[in-house]
Amino acid sequence: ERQQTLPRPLDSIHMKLLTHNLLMCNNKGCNMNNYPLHIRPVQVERKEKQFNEAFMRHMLGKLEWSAIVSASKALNFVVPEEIPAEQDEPFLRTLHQVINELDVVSGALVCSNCNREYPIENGIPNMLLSEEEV
Amino acid sequence: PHRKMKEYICHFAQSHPSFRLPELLSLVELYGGEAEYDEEEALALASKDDETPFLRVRFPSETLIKNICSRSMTIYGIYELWGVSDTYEGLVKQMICDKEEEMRTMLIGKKWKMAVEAFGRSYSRQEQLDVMSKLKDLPLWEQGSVSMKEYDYLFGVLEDIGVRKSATDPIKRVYFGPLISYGHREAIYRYNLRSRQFLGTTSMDPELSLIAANMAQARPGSLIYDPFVGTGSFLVSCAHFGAMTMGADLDIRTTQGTGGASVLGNMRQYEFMDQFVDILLIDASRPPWRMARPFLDSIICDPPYGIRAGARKIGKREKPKWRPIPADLNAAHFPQCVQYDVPDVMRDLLTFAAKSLVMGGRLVYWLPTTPEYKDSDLPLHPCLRLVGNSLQTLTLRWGRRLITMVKVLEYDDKIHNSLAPEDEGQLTAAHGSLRSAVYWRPRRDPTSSPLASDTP
Repeated sequence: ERQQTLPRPLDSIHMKLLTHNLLMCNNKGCNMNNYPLHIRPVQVERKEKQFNEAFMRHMLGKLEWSAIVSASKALNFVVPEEIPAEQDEPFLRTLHQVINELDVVSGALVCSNCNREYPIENGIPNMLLSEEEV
Repeated sequence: PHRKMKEYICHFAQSHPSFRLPELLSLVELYGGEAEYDEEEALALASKDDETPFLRVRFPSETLIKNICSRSMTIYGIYELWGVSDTYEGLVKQMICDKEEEMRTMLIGKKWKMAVEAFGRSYSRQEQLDVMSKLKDLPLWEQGSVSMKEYDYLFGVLEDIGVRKSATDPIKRVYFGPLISYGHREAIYRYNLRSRQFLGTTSMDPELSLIAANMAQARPGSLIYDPFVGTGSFLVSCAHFGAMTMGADLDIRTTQGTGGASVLGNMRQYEFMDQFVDILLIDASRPPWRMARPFLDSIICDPPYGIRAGARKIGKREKPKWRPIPADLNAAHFPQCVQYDVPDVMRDLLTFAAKSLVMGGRLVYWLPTTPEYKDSDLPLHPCLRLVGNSLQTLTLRWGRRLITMVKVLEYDDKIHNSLAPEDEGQLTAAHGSLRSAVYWRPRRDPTSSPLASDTP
């Protein structure tokens, strides 16, 4: 088996919780309980990013909030258990911090159903299945 | 009641005629506007024989025009149409008849200049003055003051003389009117490939990359995804218009590059880091995205065609012996790949788009074509409507089409899970066997050659 050799990592690639919210397990036969993936963080960083209120509002409607809650917990960050009735700027700023600024540099995404692990290396999630899993 | 909209003349850049109208209409829709034009004139505009770079269009407001021009790559400028004629005498007569009041009142106390633009050739300063002298009878000259550097109004004298004409040939047509706005072509030079840190074998022409971003309606607040991100040209062009961008690829080496240069290097070089969400390793034939709720505003990509870049997906090749991979080596295992046929790439792409795009969201992609292309080759999906099909000719036989589709119907697993062949398109598609199309050579049969009789 050939090993993938990665070039020396740059400092700024990191998996965001925005991306995590959109990913599920694609393993052969894994059809139930395959979302959300559980985050097992190894190296996490906080990186300030420009707050874009319009984008946050637009993105909010696309997120699965329960997965935001569980992912935040895995990174020791607290968010409201439910989306508040009024989504004011402070709430959107919190959302921005959670989905944009918490960066998983390394670790893994794990399926609760089949236990398949998807490694995160140099901030890039490897969602490739092996040839037996397709 | 329908308010009669004012008429304007759009002056398009010479390159990529078939992309002009689709880009314009995409931007009209983006800004919630409308536009009226003559269908025959639009056909001439799109003609690859470079028939004309001009189109008369009615718009409801100057604000819409300025918005369109703030983003357009195909437009040089848009002018209010004061007069059009086949001769200068006719033009002067028409304007004295229709626009006398504007000419006498608009410029009081204002500075203005005139600029002569000719399609098919450029004019020296003296030649421009010669042209302007043909308009000396316009009351325009009595008003305001002419100023070359700072001006309130710029009047365009737009000559359509056709291609490859000499200065002595008569004009085909001339348009006249005040400039509303120039286009946004300066963006092309900002992303000139020479200044890019990272070039891969699939790097794209920045002009077309930006046009594609306009077809995708990249804008602040939108989330855009390239499933075959490669060197990240589309991430850069979409970030240029304020979108948040994500990309994925099968092979880490195409995104990481060599020597530290990468997709990320490009985003950093052009200061788009705040608009870079993530890149992932994904096999496009097995997308790991949850589909319960649509999440993408646009998908934009240049899928692998199997000729230049190589099209692969994960799969087991036929081999007599293989060993299972130990679980702890899964991460480092470089999965085996099998061929990923172009029709399958397209089918998977459209299905993915139908599921993941929000309503009104757009799929923009390059489809390779040969002269054997016919419209029934196009991949189809009941959830997506075709709104753009622009041909870029690359060689005599080989070209590609920028296809744009809009999601108009929500994906329903019960209905769309298995589609009839006519719903999927790609019926005996020419792009199903591209290698043979590109590399096929006619067998040498002396009797069938048209020059057979010349062969001794």
